[in-house]
Amino acid sequence: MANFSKWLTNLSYWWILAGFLAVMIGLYFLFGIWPRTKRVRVQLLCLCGMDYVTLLFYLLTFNLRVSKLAAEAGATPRTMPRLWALLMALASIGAFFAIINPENKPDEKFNRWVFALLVGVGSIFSVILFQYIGYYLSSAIFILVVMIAMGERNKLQLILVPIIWCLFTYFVFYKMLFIKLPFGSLFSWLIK
Amino acid sequence: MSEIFRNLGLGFGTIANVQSLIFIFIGMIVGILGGAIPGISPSMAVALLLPITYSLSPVVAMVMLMGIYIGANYGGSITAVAINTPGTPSATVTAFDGYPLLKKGRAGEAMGISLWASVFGGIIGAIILIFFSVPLSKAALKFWPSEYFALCIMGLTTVATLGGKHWQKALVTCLFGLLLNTMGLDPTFGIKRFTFGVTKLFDGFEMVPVLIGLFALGEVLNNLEHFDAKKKIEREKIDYKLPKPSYYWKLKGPIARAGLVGCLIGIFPGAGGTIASFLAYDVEKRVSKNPAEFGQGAPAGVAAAEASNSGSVGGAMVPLLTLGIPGSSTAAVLLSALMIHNLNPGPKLFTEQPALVYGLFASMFIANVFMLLVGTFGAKLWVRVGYIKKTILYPLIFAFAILGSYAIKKSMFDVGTCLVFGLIGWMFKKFDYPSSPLVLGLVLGKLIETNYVQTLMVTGPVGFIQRPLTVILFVISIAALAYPIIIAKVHAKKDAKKAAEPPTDDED
Repeated sequence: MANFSKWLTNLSYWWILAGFLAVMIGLYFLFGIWPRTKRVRVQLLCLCGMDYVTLLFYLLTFNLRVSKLAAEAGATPRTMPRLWALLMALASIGAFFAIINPENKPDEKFNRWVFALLVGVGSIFSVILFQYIGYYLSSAIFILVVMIAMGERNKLQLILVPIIWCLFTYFVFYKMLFIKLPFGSLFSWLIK
Repeated sequence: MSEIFRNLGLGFGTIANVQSLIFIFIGMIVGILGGAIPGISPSMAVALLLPITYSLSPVVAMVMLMGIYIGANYGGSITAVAINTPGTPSATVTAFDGYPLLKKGRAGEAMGISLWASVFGGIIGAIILIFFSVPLSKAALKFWPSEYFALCIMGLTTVATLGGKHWQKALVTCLFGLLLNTMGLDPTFGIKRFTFGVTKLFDGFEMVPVLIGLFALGEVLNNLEHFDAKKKIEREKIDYKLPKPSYYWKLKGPIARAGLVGCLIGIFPGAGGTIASFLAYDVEKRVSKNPAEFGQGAPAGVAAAEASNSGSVGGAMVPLLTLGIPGSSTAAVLLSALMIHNLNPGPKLFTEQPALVYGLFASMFIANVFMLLVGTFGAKLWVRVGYIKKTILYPLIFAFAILGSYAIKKSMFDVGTCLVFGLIGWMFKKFDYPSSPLVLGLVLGKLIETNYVQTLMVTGPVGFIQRPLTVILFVISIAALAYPIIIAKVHAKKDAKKAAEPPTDDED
């Protein structure tokens, strides 16, 4: 187990993430087989996602260094993660049966989840753009795009809201709280 | 007793300056605004504003956040009365009688009652907080690590089990939070755990991006998913003229009772304002001479709901300040705020930072007085807040959340953390996994681990059964875990019995 744990420790987190996705996809189809699990499969996936992390942490504890002093005291860096993992396993069994209980509410349908996810992805782009076009312009574009995507058509509001937001963040964060937000490499000459 | 009054004087002295008063006022206004907008909970409002407090002194930062907490609890009632849409979950009960009162053309009365009940419920909560927490903090100073450990476990089990119908899910999320908390350097031995080679994880997750992600982004993503551009709130022209102050005297009984109930319920970790308001409403209905009036526009119903949820604020602060255990999700955010300002919540806070603790107590009175003034003169304005377009609100909350997580350390990693936890919060919200137990697990994990290891090192495993208080606390924890199971079984038996009974003629 220690060797496996060592191998797991040296594994890139991208592989762990890929493993997570693969397990989730596999379980999604697996839970689709039985009617009892099919109606609550996303609830079960949430549970299994947490269990995946729990199992991973449990396996990784075998590679944690244990000092002599800690071993003598009976409390090592491995103790708490293992205790929580054990309790998590027990609680998960209880939660699993509670979820598949026919009286439990079935999974809520995904409505405009792609839209919500796209807004999330848009925010990542906006953050990446911080270093190039600066925080102010980047956040203004983000707000404008999301407002349009949500169906806002009032031109005055589309112009005013991002401008007011930029002014608010500039005065409150930059001037009052002295938190320097990036101006971006494209506009760095402005500060110089 | 004289010591309490002396220290309270010190507290008022600490915040009797323009800066503190301005920030209490700002906090309270932001809180009312946040509370009045459906979809923004008090915990979300406090989490979003947390980054603004970095450059402030701990006292000013905490009194401002306290102002938000108090303001948001009242703010929720405004839209509950005006558009039958509670701004916060705890204001749900306010809508039961508040909206029918509005429909009867007594909107001003409903708004006035909710304001005065909030103010006096909050003051009752603050008074109980002061007289409860001071002796409790003194007793807590004598606690052994084993007792602290048992206390934390008790806090977690009650939180998890008070998750209501979804207590199993609450328990899982709580344990998941505890497990995530083990990431980073081990607090006793300094060994790296589950960092995956990422140096930014050496201290574990930064709490603010986690909180903003779970409470703000998760909520907004969920709202975005259900957003319907065509849906519009109908505006009604209503007269919000508040009654004269003497009118509220007849509601002194319901306000006092509900404030007390709310505060006592608030003390229990996880109970919070929502449970408090339901319970206080029920109590008031039982003692009322006209119980049939409840739900049809009973002024006592509005008073009970509002006084209890405001009273619960004081209650939630008791375990937070005296033991370092948050009593509600907003209190968990406040706990993180204390930690960010290098303060250790717990009994030592009373001896090490009396100015801060008593300043916080004093700020609760001042925030409530401000609230009375602002609520009296701005009733019409606050109602309009509920009509803010979602097309403006959601992008702004999103931008604020990103900015808040970035501003802490100017780290993209923190923004990533916020987004990941936002995604988790969204899924949790959608599939009925409560987020608060996860936060409590994350916040309390280190405290539990430290006390657990200390107990083992000092006394060995026998330390957990050596002291009576430890055993009592463990027994309560087990009882708290067993309670929902027993209740569920009793209900299942009752339902089965009902189903087995032959249908009566009436039912036919």
